[in-house]
Amino acid sequence: MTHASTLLAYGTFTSDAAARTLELPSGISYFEIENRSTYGTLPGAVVKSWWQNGMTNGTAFQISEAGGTGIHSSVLAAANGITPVNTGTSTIGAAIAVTAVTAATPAVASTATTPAIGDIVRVYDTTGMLQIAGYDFTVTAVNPGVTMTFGYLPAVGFAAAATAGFYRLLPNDLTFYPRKRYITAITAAAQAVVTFSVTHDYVVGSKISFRVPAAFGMTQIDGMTGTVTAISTANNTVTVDINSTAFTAFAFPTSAIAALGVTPAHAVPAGEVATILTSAERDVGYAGLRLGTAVVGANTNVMQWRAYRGETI
Amino acid sequence: MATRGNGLLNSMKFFQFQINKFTEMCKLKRITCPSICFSIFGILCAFSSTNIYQFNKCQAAETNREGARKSEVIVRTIEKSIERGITRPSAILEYGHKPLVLVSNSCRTAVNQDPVLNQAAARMGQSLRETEDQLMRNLLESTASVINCTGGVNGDNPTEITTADCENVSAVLVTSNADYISELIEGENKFGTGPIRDCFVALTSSSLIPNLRLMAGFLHKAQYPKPDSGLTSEYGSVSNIRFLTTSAGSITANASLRGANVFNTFVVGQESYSSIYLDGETAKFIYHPPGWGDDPAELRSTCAWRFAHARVITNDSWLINLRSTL
Repeated sequence: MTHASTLLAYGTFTSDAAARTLELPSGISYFEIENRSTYGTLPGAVVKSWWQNGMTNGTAFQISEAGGTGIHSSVLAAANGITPVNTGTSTIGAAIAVTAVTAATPAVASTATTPAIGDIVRVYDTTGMLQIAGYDFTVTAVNPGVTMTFGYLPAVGFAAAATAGFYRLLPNDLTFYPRKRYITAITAAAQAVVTFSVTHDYVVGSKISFRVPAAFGMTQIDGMTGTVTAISTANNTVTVDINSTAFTAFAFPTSAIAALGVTPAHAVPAGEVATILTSAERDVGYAGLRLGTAVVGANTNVMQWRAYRGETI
Repeated sequence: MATRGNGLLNSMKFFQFQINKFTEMCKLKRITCPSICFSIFGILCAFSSTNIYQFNKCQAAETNREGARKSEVIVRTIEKSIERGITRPSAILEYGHKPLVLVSNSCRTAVNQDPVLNQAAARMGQSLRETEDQLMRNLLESTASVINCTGGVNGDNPTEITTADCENVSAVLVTSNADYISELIEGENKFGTGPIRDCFVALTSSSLIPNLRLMAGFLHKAQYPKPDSGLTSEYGSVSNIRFLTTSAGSITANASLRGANVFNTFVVGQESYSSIYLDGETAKFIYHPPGWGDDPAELRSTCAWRFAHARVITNDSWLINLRSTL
């Protein structure tokens, strides 16, 4: 039996040299990507990469533009190539050791295997700093092979640094938008400013409801719902129309109390105030391909790609 | 063709039979029936009007002066016109399954294709309903508020689930003015049985069954005064909670204090969440006989399913994700 392959989708993008994910119909069996900017013009540069179902994830076959010899080179990208992704079936990363987490703002974790900036990591078994064990954090800065920074964790008030621990890389965020988020700080102000551990997706006008257990101090805000009046992308905060001036200060429980069991302080999406809704509850799960840095070209390069589906014979 | 058509018809009747069967079994008040028997998350909320609104999570958790949450539901709507003059929620997404290709040689096609088609139809039906379940599960996993179990002794956070945790969750839901889903089942003079309280429903992973059995006061469905009053997927009851289990339950990997898997048990009150279907777009089963499409030798038939579906939490004070470890 044979079955002709079908071109499912094609397109272009301008590379920023960073890895990226293309959302595509499921069941891609062949994918190819070409570099318009270097094709026929830059000897030695990778001009085409392709991947076929059955190849090792993260690899790609490539050809480089001919040099003076006029002969193209065949290349195997053994890493940072092309990987199929599916938020419905993806699995969490392997355990990676953390040797320390500073009690500072922001908290900095030491590890020999650092993720990429923007990745979400799940931290656990943080000896001496169990208040963050089980939390997810967005990585905001990286010193490759040395440290990663949890820019949205103000840990300066913690009694001690973590002396050991682990993290795992999350393959994707929760699949429905808008999402619940764990809280790492709430200010006592006329309009409370709330910081989340993972990059939030609330918008101005979002209504969010707070769940703050007694162990976190600011019990007055527990159960209240506020409207987001401003957001800060840089600080990963939202400002809500709740006057928390007279509230008890928000503070993480101690490591010892956390070890006995507490529920994280968190916010859940509750609605939206808007004439046109922009953050309706929706499924943002996807299938597609993760394009690694070996195949996306250099910054400003224009890349063109095609995705096919065919049946295995 | 007539024979094949009858086979398909029989399959669809099977689906309808399951729906009717579940409707009869489902004694839950004020809830329209879940989709079919293997759908435990897909509690249906039918919007049959030609005006269907885009809406967000609707919620009520603003506090009154006494600090208790109000129970009114705020629904914010906006109409978006599309062709044919109806309105449609942008949040409704369409889902489908890659067509299942049924291959046969011409002799077998000539003899009888019904058994193959019937089997495929049943599998596709299962696939569709499981997809509905997974979507609702993912919604609850992404947005429901959480409470960690702390009553256990396994030294983790959250701990294993205990009766005290269930009592706590029940109390929180009652304080939030959530309504029970099932009514009291009165005790009877039968050995080994016990009465069942008014209950919320918990949707959880079947992996949690050993822990459920260990909870003090847990009653297996077989110990109900009327065992046939339990749902097919129901395992038992403790406190004010009846547990439905599924292999597609929600598990958050390595999310406990010690890095163990966390099991998400969604304890829900009445009308806390809904599934919304578009008229005419619910569970479409698509069959193409041999010769359709790129099949000049008439060797392949295909079947597939498609549905449009949106999910919404109508009041997030009325459901809680009770997190536990093993």
